[in-house]
Amino acid sequence: MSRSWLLAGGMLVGAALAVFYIVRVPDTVEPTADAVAWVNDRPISRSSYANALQAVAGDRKSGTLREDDRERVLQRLIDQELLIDRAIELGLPERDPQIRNQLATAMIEFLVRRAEDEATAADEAALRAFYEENHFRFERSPQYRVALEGGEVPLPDGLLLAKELEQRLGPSAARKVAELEVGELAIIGEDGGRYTVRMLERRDGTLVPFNEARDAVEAAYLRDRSEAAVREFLEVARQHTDIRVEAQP
Amino acid sequence: MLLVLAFWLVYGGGKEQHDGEIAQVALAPEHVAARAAGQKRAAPNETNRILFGDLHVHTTLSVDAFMWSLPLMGGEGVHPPADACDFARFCSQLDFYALTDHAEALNPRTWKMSRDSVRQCNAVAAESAQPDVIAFTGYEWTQVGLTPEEHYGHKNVIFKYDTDEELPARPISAPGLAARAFSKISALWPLLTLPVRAFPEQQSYLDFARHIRENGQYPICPEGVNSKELPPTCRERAASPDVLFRKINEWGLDTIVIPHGSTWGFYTPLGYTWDKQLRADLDDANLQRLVEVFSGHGNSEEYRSFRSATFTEDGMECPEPTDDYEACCWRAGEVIRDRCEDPSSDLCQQRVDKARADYLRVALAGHVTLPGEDVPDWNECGQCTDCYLAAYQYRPAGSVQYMLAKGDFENPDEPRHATMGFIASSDNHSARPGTGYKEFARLQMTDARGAPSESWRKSMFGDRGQPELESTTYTIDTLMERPPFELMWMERQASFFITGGLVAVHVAERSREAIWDAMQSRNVYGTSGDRILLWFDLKNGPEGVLPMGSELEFSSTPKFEVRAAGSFEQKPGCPPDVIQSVGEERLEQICAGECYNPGDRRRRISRIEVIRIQRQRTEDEPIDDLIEDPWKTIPCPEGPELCVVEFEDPSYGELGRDLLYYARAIQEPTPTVNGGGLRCRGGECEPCYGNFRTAGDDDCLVDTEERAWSSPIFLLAGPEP
Repeated sequence: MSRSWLLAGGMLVGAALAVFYIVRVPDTVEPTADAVAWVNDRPISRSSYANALQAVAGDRKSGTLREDDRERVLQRLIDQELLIDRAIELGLPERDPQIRNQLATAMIEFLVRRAEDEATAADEAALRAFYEENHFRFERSPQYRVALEGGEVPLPDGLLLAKELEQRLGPSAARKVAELEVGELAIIGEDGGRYTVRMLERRDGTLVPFNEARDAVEAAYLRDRSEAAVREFLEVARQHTDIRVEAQP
Repeated sequence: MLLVLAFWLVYGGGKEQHDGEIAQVALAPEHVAARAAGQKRAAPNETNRILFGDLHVHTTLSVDAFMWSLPLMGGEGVHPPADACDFARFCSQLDFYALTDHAEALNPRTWKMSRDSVRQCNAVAAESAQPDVIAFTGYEWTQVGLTPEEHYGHKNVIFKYDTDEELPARPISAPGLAARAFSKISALWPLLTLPVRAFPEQQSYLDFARHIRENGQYPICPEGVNSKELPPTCRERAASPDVLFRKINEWGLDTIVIPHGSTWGFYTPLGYTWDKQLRADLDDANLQRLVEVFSGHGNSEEYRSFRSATFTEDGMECPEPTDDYEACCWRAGEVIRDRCEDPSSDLCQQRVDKARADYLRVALAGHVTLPGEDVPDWNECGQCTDCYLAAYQYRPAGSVQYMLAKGDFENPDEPRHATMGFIASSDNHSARPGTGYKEFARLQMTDARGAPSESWRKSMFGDRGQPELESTTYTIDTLMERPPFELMWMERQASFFITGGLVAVHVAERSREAIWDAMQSRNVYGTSGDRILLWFDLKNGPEGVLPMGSELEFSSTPKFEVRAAGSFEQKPGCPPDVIQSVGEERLEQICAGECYNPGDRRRRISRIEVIRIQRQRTEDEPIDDLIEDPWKTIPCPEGPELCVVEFEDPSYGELGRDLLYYARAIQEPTPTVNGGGLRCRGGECEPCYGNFRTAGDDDCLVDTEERAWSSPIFLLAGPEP
């Protein structure tokens, strides 16, 4: 058993404790209110029992429970608790990759879900602050209608975005054209390749008002917060964990 | 005790599922008629816009994309679908893109996530008459068969609109190898040990395992039920294209289906041809308007006569090599011959013959039959050595040229042919649409990935052992005991991942409707990644000028015009306005600090190549004689930015048969990531590995001629007088 395995085991216990603290039943909840049975002072919740019964009923061709199903399901849930107890005693969470996967995956999922719940409950001010800090996400591009005289590559009709001007004229010429006021003319190129562009109409870029962009703001905010939550958790965990890399990969 | 409770609450507590809703959209009676009308709306292109997009993009919702993103594969971590929007807007600066994650890897939760992310991307521009980027929702039907008879390949399914009412409740997946790999953790058992080895940096691996497990927990939808009537949370499957098309049509939604990667030997069985997919029941011409010619996984355009295996009454045989092509089964024999003490002995020849037979027996995993083999041993076997950036392990009877030349003669009086326009894509697996804008960051901007060290390599691909005198004979059962990654020969494939292509559409306006109409009318073209401008018109159509993609009866001498302008040279970094608005840190994160950033010089279009394909009239007409590539090569003059060429075909009338023409605009040579494939010269190869064997900052740049492929113009000879 290498030191890295021991370290891994220690980390797992730490992660499991973290999971507990995140998902633990709040102290204010009446401990016996929802229990259908107890195993070593640990409750089997009525909702778990109901879910199990529903699953068994769904498995029956008739779609209904048999007479002895309720008792059998309860006993199997108790068996499951006993098995889990023993699995912990044997250290399976430290040894079995699948269990470890489930545990840590659930941890990530809880972090994300909790962050999303918090973000969903965010007040208007938080969303607006995010919107203000991330204007670039919610901007509409300026548009230009121009007339081209000469030039090799034809310009499309209609109002064009800056990138459409750029596609045909090149970036320097497009920038020059975008600075024109309506009615102004720019001479582009040299000698035989010279051509003119006249600005016919321009609509400056606009920031989408908060109310119009609200759905997009909220989605971006949720995403931002959930990513940050996982990142922050790992950063803190690393700071408080003794990690020693003993061999270069 | 605390652990028990934590475990129970986490593991046993059950997960909330957010079901999709079945959209109750009535089948519009004019649905098919509207599609047909859309096909005729193409207009000449003089004053049209050209919008660039990418219709083939995966995120980490696709299991293989998830795998690419794992640190063990040299990836950067998870890229949620929302990243695609930022990448398209700020990095590649595309006009449109579609998310097409593998249907086999999607479930109700992730399908909703994909739909939501597309809507969120469109939300900002929703009220704008000129959205800067337009996102489409789609998925990839990822069919893989073990034999040529049961193999159909991959197809992207893309929907016009983005609301739940105008999208299907479920993506439709293909049962078989891909679905098994994407939904059964048992098929990827070795991965389960990776988190242990990677501890404490195991999050990505754990997500991967969860992802696969999650996909496996949904039941398969019952068969024989209309797609709209199925429960929302089952996994819907279609084993063949006819079933896929039927299910898509049951929804009555505006949909396009785009076959892709039809030459990729990575998963395409030896001996595969496109032939059966020309049958009316397996080719819905209303849906399959386009085909993907080129992607980040290589080019599928060009037809060649070589085959990776030949079929006789006795089964598969290994074809002898030609000057341009060596089949890998043949190469397997040569590797064994090199190991003989006396290469000319009968014993050695027996071993050589056995090696070839062993290779053919397990086909795509043939490399595992040679103990101690390494990538360079195989030289360029299986490759199209004179093709442009050909896909890995080329299957020419799946090429686009073959598809268009071949006929189906189930009804001999009315031979049936495929009529599809051309697009190109990235097929990117890290939510990065349009990666071909610059040739850089090989391990981020292509799908080339690999193990970061020898120990990782062994854990993924198994130990290849020492060279032995004889090949190993595998059955399917014994083969399946090998590490799954090893069977896919991924290490060799890494040399063929490129930054990928773009689709360009000719449109009168910048809108979802206009893009869709252009795709329906095939007024589109593909590029190898550079923003080459291309027009290809029939000048003397019955009603005047007709653009690429047109199909018409025609009886006189056709006259064509091609106009093309090269892409702009790229400057390093991102444009100042993009940096100012997005910030350097975010740009570094999503596109390694490199955006589409054109300079003022256009690269030169050096020549226009015209390809003419005669449609097969009888089943025994050799395909080799029907594809003329190039039929004409017309050099472009030095100087002008716009290359304009005209040509005509006086022999059209004499031939008196259905023909199609398309143009290839060839740009001056520029450095290309993995442009040299396996980089073989004089029998020695220097593969560009995706793993630790090639430096991560080596982009393996080799000059190639970037290009654009117009959609064909299809001329029908009409009834004989």
